[in-house]
Amino acid sequence: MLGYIKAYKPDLKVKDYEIYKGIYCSLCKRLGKSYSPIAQLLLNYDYTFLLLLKLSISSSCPSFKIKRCHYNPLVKCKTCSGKNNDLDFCSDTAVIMSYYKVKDNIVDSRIIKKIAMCFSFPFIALMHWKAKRRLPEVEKIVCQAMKEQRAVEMNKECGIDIAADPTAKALSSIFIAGENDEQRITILRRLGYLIGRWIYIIDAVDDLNDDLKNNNFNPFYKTEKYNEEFCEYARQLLNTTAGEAALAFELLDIYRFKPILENIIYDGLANETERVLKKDRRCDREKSV
Amino acid sequence: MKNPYEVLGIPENANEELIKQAYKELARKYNEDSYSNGPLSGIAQKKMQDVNDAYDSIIMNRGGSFGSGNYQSPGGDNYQYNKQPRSEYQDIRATIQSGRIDDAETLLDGIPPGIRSAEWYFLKGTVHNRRGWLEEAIKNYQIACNMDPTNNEYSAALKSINKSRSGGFRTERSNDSGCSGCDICTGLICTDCCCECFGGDLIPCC
Repeated sequence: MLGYIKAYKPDLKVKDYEIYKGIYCSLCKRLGKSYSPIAQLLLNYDYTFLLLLKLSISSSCPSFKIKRCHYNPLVKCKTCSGKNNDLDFCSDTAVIMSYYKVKDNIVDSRIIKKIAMCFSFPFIALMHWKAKRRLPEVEKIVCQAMKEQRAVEMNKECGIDIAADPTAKALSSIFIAGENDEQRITILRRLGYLIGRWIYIIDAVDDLNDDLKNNNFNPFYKTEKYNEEFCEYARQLLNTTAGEAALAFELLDIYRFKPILENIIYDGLANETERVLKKDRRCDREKSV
Repeated sequence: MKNPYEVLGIPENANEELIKQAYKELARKYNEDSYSNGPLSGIAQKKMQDVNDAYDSIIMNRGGSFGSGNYQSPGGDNYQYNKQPRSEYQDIRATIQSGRIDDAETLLDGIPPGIRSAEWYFLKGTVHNRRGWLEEAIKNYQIACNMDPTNNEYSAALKSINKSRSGGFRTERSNDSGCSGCDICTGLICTDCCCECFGGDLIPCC
């Protein structure tokens, strides 16, 4: 979960944008309350999407209150507080997944980043210790996925479908956690799988240059560098995955926040794809208007 | 039964035009072709059935002045899935239908490479598609299509999975156009003109 799943703000209505921001703030506040202010640094938009989705299909509607933000006291934001299982679920998930990400980064990254990561590790390990006991099922899912990912990376030639499988499966299990309606589980399993797959692919595309330099595993290692051909291929991969995810999403019965979720899935994903592919002018594609 | 107007997402006093429009929109959304071969085809079919029932019941209540439902797929061609007269892989198809993907793959892999037909590749692609391995699925569908270019089932599957490849997965949504800088200026000038007619002035300099 690395913050690729965002809303496309220009197309969002102001009222929806406020809700979106409110959801983000709620999650941030909850992380601060349940863990520590350091935990708030772990938050990114992927977890906001997860919370948004969980809330949109849950039967009870959360109520929002206007509160001041600790980091920017001039701004008041709407947050939902009080007891909410989805909110707790997402904040605990954020801590667990970040812990494994940091752990993974310590092995992978270069010396300067490694030192920074090592420095932050004790804090996050402490928080993880708490999260692990609050949410043992997610801990099990993520731990299993990390193991599988390591096994998959042994074979450099495995291909994108197999390389993306552990991440995708983990997200799929996280999406369906706590659901008991059979039809909804089927849809969420597919949606979660495809969203996880999309995240894995876009992260691999984004990190390709660094991975090649550091000689780390990357499913696209055969491509020497960014070129037009690779960009087109990556774009097609991401579009196919996002398109299938959109099909799954359409079948889901959603009680609220529909415009925001539609915005994320239809415009947010496409926008993020272009942003990553065009970063540092790695691939400039002339776009006919 | 659910309120048919709720199913179509329209108010109860909607006119015929709106009902038809809502029905067509939903029929396009749950169109069987998009979901065929994927794990969600059963759910999509059920939703389509609900929409059809809702549409029919509204028509019945209103006296049946306009045509009955059963929207056809936009292409007009009706593929008959799962109703192949004979198939060498009938049991494997049944295994896939019941959702036992790993079993189906084991059965498929048990067939020696020498005698694998177009249908084998099609089914292999379907197994991958169900699992979410889209690239492998496309590859296998492609082989199936190349081996048997006349088969509608294979080409429909390939077409459906490739539909969003070039980025066309966004559905058409009601697009309320925004207000540009020009619109604001024009609005202000108009207001100014109106004010001047009545002796006031909004923009003193013109």
